[in-house]
Amino acid sequence: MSQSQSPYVDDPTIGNDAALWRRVPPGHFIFDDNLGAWRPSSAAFDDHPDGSPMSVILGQQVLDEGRIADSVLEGHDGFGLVSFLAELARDQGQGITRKPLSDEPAHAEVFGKKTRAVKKAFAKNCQWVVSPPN
Amino acid sequence: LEANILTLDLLERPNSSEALTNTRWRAAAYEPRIASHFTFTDISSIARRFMVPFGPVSLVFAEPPAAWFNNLLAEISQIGDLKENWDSYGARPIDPRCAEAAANLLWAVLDSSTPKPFVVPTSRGGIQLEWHRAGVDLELEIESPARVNVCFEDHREGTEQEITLSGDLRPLTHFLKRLGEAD
Repeated sequence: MSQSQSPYVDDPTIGNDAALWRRVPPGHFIFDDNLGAWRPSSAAFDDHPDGSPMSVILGQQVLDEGRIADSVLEGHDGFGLVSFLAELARDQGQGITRKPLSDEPAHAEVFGKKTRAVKKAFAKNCQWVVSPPN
Repeated sequence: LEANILTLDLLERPNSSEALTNTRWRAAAYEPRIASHFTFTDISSIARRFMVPFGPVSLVFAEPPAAWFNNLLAEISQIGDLKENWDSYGARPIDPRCAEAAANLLWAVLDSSTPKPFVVPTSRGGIQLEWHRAGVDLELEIESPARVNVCFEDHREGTEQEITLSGDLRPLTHFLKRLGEAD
């Protein structure tokens, strides 16, 4: 579903410079010889299997709440955490909407069709906030 | 035993020329081969085979595969242990039939000198095989045994191709050849 057909509405209060964080599970770390670095696989950036949009966490909100980045990895041993800008998502035809959860008030969703190109764009243009364990 | 064996059709490795138009690869017309019954003869035969655990089932080979293939099998086997929600975002366990398809496909197109891929589980229960080297990105997503999507991006030439793999493996062997050209 493209953004124009989506029941979700892009939230203008989430600025283009907003950092969106996403957990990366073990098994999604790959070494990209072309980049000379470890990065997440494109497979780490997809909608939920139930069809709901890709979950992210609003990084600044976490910090404003006095938490640290590692707190969103609590209970997820071996995971890494990456960050990408809302601008990157929008450049890929995606929208962002807040969807606070009881256990994660900074939760949001990135909606729009996750083509291979979109997933690769996220994978290649994100930065590690919490690097994968050695 | 009945529900715990997934037979893998890797009885004979095709030679390189066969691999170009591999007729054993049947992605477009997949036939489930999860055994529902074994006779004593079958069990005796299985006892001589090489079994690779994959979660609650086993992938069975007619004979131990070549040593260079063992690491790939171990990686495939490892993702069979993933439980529901393994990515913390509701991911599904990996479908053993996708593991079978991945092993069959890799066995058909790789040899000991081919660069080996990363074996990556997908949240929908499939497997993605990835190579990122020599100025090339190659990704194969096995969504199901009947659907394999291939994305090939050559940064040296600025070209990109996306195809759905059918019985003809020639496009894939071509892409793999480009991966190895820098060596």
